[in-house]
Amino acid sequence: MTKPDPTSASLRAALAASRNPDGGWPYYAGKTSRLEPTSWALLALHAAGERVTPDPLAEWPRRDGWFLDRSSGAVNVGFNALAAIVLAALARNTPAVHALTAALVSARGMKLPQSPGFVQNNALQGWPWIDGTFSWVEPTALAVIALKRLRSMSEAQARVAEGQRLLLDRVCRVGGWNYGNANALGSQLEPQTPPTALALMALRDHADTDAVRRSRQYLSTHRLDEWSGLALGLTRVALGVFDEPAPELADAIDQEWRRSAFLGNLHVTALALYAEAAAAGGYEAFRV
Amino acid sequence: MTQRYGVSRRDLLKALPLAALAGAAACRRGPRPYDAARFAHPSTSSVALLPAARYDLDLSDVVGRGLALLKVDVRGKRVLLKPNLVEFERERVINTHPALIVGAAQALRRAGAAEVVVAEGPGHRRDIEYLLTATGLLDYLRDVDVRFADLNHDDVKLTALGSRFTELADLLLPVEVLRADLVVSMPKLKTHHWAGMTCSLKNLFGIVPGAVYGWPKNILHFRGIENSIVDLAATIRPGLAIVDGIVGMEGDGPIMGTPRPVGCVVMGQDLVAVDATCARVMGLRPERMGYLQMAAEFLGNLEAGSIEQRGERLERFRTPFAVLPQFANLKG
Repeated sequence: MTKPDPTSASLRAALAASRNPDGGWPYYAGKTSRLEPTSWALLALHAAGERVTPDPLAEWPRRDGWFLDRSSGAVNVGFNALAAIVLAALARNTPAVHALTAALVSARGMKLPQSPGFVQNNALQGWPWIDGTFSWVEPTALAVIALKRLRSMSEAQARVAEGQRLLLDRVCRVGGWNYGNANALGSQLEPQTPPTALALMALRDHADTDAVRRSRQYLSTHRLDEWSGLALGLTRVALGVFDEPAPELADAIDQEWRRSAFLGNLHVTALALYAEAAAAGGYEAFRV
Repeated sequence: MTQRYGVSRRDLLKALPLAALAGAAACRRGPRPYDAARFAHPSTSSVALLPAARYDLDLSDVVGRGLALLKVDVRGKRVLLKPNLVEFERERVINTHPALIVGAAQALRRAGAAEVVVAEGPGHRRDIEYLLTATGLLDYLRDVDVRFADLNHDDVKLTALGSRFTELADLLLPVEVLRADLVVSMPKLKTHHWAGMTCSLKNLFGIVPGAVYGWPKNILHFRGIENSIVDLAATIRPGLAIVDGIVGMEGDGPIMGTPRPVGCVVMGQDLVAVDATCARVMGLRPERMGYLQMAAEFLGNLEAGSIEQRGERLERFRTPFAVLPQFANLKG
């Protein structure tokens, strides 16, 4: 008989208590439902064996395939990619999923001329956070994972390949990634844990490359250096996707939850629940 | 197509991912992109320079003296303190020091503020829990029971811009900022590798929500850093600046530079005058900074003759800051 997990129960209770009447979740209790926390909450509760009704994404406002920000109507490409990952995990196969896939395939960051200030290939086009801007690590990693999970369009393959080339181009010298520039004006920039974890998962099929090996080593070595629910949760998921045992991360997340309650951030709360609930299944949603 | 104040397609394609169009405002012609009648340009402005050699002093007393010198009335107001919280590296002095943030909060409460909240939306590192913990700010805030608001993930409201140097009509801005009666910009005194200097005006970039615009807030770079600084200032209209000049950063700021002790706190209600004064403290020529020139047209005073120094004399703190070669022209 397995021991009850008080942290998981507490995380689930926090999500249940802060769900909005429209079925979605805000970043912080009492605020407007947003796409990122709603997506993470759906994924986490699904992994925990809960059926979420009503389905907030079914009623979410949409345009041209994109999920829109509820309050502003804006499109955030990165969070749409996360929603696509969640829809794939929930085994949805609807016209809405196809439309979102097509939107993701068509979206791309701006191509810019080479700059002497940055040693990187500015012609590569991954995914931007919003239309009309440059490609950055987090939305690119999420879009690569989403399109690999959905596997529904042959056109997606070329975009996935270019997104992965961009990630490999932006790896920091010591391994790992930050938001998107490995260097600037002659200085080597430092990696950060959350984008490192996401980029690694997007490059799981490039595990034999030097960049991915260095980055795995970086994440493994620094797994407890960034003390937050976001960093610890994503690290646990990423190392799990690479089948690297990291039992101390479960304890660290538990400690951080009891210390800070993740400052009330519900997308981080949901991520922590997913990191625990999906561990036994190997984090299938991100295993591409 | 060339656009009058903003960013042509050709300009954009020349742009760097981050630097992007800092000089876009240089070729301004024709009508100004703001309604001058909506802005009361002060004839003179007061800026207080207060000695503070270390962070273990009673900084609430320092800020309290500044509030008194400037006759700032915060009674009954909801005050939002916007520090500069960018990144954490143990050996660097990147962020507004938590002791000054908390000192300001205590001073404002003593002066009668109805509520004081500390709020920030870092532009490169979205993990605010990590930043608050690593910098120690979370513990400082808990000690004095001050709430923190995460501007990157707050609810947002479409807000018409007070000026349109960027050619944007509006931005989605955090509700927490919009409902404040008084926004206080609390920057660290630093050089900046794209803008030359970052102080109370550039600090407003952290108000733009990352959950809408991403990390970094790339739209601001693409629309011109200087244009964006001025549009944000004209829209948010902060009523006070409290600058951490106790230890600044010179060289490759805002992250990779080196510590530069100055030993002062600079305060003022005209942010243009505060930033101009801080530039002079750093040995830089404020009239050579594009965004200060633009802001001085309608938001505040740039000329030394229009700025009344209170507290200590500027010369006491003058500390020439090293700048990157591309900003050598700012040295005076």
